[in-house]
This record gives sequence, structure tokens and C-alpha cells, in this order.
Amino acid sequence: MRGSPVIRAIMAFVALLALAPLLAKVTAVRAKVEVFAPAAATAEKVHLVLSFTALPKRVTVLHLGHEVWAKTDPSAEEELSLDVPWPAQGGELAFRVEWPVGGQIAAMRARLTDPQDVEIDRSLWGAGPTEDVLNFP
Amino acid sequence: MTRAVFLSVSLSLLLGAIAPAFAQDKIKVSSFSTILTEIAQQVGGNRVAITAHVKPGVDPHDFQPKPSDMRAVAEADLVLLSAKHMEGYLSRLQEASGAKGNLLEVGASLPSLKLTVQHGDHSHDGEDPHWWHSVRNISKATKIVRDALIRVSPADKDAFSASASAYLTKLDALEQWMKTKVAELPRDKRKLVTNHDAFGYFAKDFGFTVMPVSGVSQNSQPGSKAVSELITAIKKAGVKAVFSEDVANPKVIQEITKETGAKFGGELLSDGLGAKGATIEAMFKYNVTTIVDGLK
Repeated sequence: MRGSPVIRAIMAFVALLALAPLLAKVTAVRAKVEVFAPAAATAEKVHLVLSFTALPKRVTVLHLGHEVWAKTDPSAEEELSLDVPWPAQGGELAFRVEWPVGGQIAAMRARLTDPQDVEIDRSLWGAGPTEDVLNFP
Repeated sequence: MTRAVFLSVSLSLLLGAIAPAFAQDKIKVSSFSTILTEIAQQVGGNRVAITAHVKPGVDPHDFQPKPSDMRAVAEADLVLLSAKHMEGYLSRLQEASGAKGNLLEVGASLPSLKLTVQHGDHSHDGEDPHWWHSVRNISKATKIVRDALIRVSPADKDAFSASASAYLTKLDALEQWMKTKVAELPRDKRKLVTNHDAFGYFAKDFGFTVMPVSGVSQNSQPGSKAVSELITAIKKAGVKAVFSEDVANPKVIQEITKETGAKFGGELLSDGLGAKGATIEAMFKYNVTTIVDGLK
């Protein structure tokens, strides 16, 4: 039953040929791309204090293009907490401050305390309806 | 009465004779950049006659002036150049212009970013010529062109200053819009993969990291090692989209999308104005919207 070496070699070759499609499939699966997306940012607590030299009619805060806080007829100082994704390298907040049209130039101070408890101070100036993005840090 | 009629007719004939001369007396501007063509038009208005040698959609890296371009340069009052080594034919323009000293290398007065320049099998550091991807640089260029036009025609100082001021206000509003749009994208997603390193100035202004197909000009094919490294970096960073450029071959980027699973975010305008952005404002709005919406 042992047969000649030539016949055994041919049988082995035929067996490998038969397995070729399976091997190709397994190899292709292994070569398939693995994408390592960074972990999705989770919401963090960001503390914000807004103060105004002149009272606006309304103030709106946006994060990543979405409104996260707004108030009509705010007081001279507003304190708020935002639950937003805040990566270690910091972030940006967009502000719409609707000071009265025709009024003098006014300012808004924004003091932000990030999740690492670092306080960052920024200001925004404008006359009439004003929109700007502030970077923290 | 007869005398009044005679004077009136004479005056009309005289004005009729000299009016065409005034109409022809425009400042001749030759521009070798689509960006500078718009700036000169905005500042100079109907006081300038601009010859746009580099047309929208043309790759300025590949542009070579023809004899007709040289003739226009020889007759121009002002020649506008991007500079930062964009015009490899500069010496020919200098020759055509003669000793007039009217070649204005606008980019030479703007801050430079470094760029890796590939020459065959070796590379070296050079200046990034794509300064127009920063609105702040466009504003500075506007002031440079305004001052140059005033030097050519001091009598038009007030008109040029007023039109430049109006244009600068528009650029401020554009930059504001860009800031608000980019703020929609988290900082950790600001990774820009493109054919070549053309968006350094934009990246610097808005906190993006540019991941170009390393050290490769738009017309050459990258080495497999460079592409492999970029694919690894894209996967590691979890980049959602990659972009090609309107004047570049998109094949490599298409290969990268296959290998990484990132989507193709679209074609960006890298080397000046084109069909998808016929004005500076349209170019920025198109590029920023494509990038931000692609990477969200």
C-alpha cells in the first residue's frame, strides 16, 4: 500500500490543489483590513462662567455645531455646566451673543474649567448680534 | 445764443474724442495666479485690465508661459506672482519685463511653512508655496496688491483703499464662517489625508494634522513603503475619510480607501480656483464643507 514515491507526490499535489480555494479564502480573511478607530469620546463635565459688560438679548452656546445652552435676557453673570465630549487636547465652543443693534461695542468673558480642573479665560467682543468661536485652550 | 450752441457742440466733440483715450488708460495687470487675479479685480475694479495667464483649473505647478504671455508681461504695468518658488519660469518673466521692476512676488512677503520637496529619489526641505489656503494670508496679499496698485496709480489711492477695505471685510466674514464650520468637528478628528502636502497653511490656522502621501508631488506615484506607512497611520488614527485634489491623480487615494476602510471624502481645490470654486470664497466654502462633513 505504500506505493511509489512519484505516485505519493502526485497524490499530495492533487490534495493541495483541492484545498487551494479554501486556503485562498482563509488567507483573504486574514488579510482583511482592521481599522482601529479611536475610542469614542465620552461626555465630560465642563464648567463655564459667562459675564457681560452689556447685557445681550440672548446668548447661545454651541458645541460641535449643536446648541448646548441658551438663555434669553441673561443676567450679568451666568454660571453653567455642560455635559459634552471634551478630549484631552481641549475643544471649542461657538457663541452667539445678541447684543442690541446700534449699541456700543461690548464684551463677554468666558471662564471655562475643563474636566482636568484647568481654568481657561477667553473673551469675545462685538456690537450688535455677534458670533464667534473660542478655543479652550 | 449761436455762440453758446457752438461752445456746447465743441465741448461735446472734445469730450467724445478724449473719452476713449481715458477708457483705454487702464492699469495693465498680468497675473500668474487665479487667487491674485481675483484680488486684483476686487481691489482694482474697472481701473485695471487683468490678463489672467493661469486660468482656473490649471495646475500652476505645471504651467509654462507661451510667447503671448511674455508679450503681455512686457506691456504690463504690474505683474503678480505667487512666489515661494511656484513660478519656475521667473527668470524668463524678468527678462520679458525688462528693467521696469514691476514684478510683484506677493508670497515673498508672507510667512512660510516648511514642506518636503521630492526630486526623484531624494528629498529636501523647501517652502510650502500654497499660502492661499489661509484667509489671513489672502488678507495680507490684498493689502500688498492694494499698495502696489497705488504705487502704479497714486491718483486712484482713495478708490483702491475703499475697495480693498470692503474686500477685507468680506474676508473677515469668510474666516468667521470657517471657524464656526470647523468647530463642528472635534479636534481629535482633524486629520487631513490628501495627495500632497498642499493644506499646511489651512491646517495651521484650524488645528488640523495633514497626512499627505509622503513626499510625493501630484504627478508622481508614491513608493509602497510610504503608502504602507500612511495606511498604518490612517488606521491607527481612525480617519473616517480621505481626499484627493482637483488637479491630481486620485488613484493612490482610491487605493488607500480600499486598504483602510476610510471613505473617499471628495476632491479638494488645492492649487487655486477651479470649477468647484470659481471665487476665493467659493473655494474655501467648498473645501471646508467637504473636509468637515467628510470627517464628522
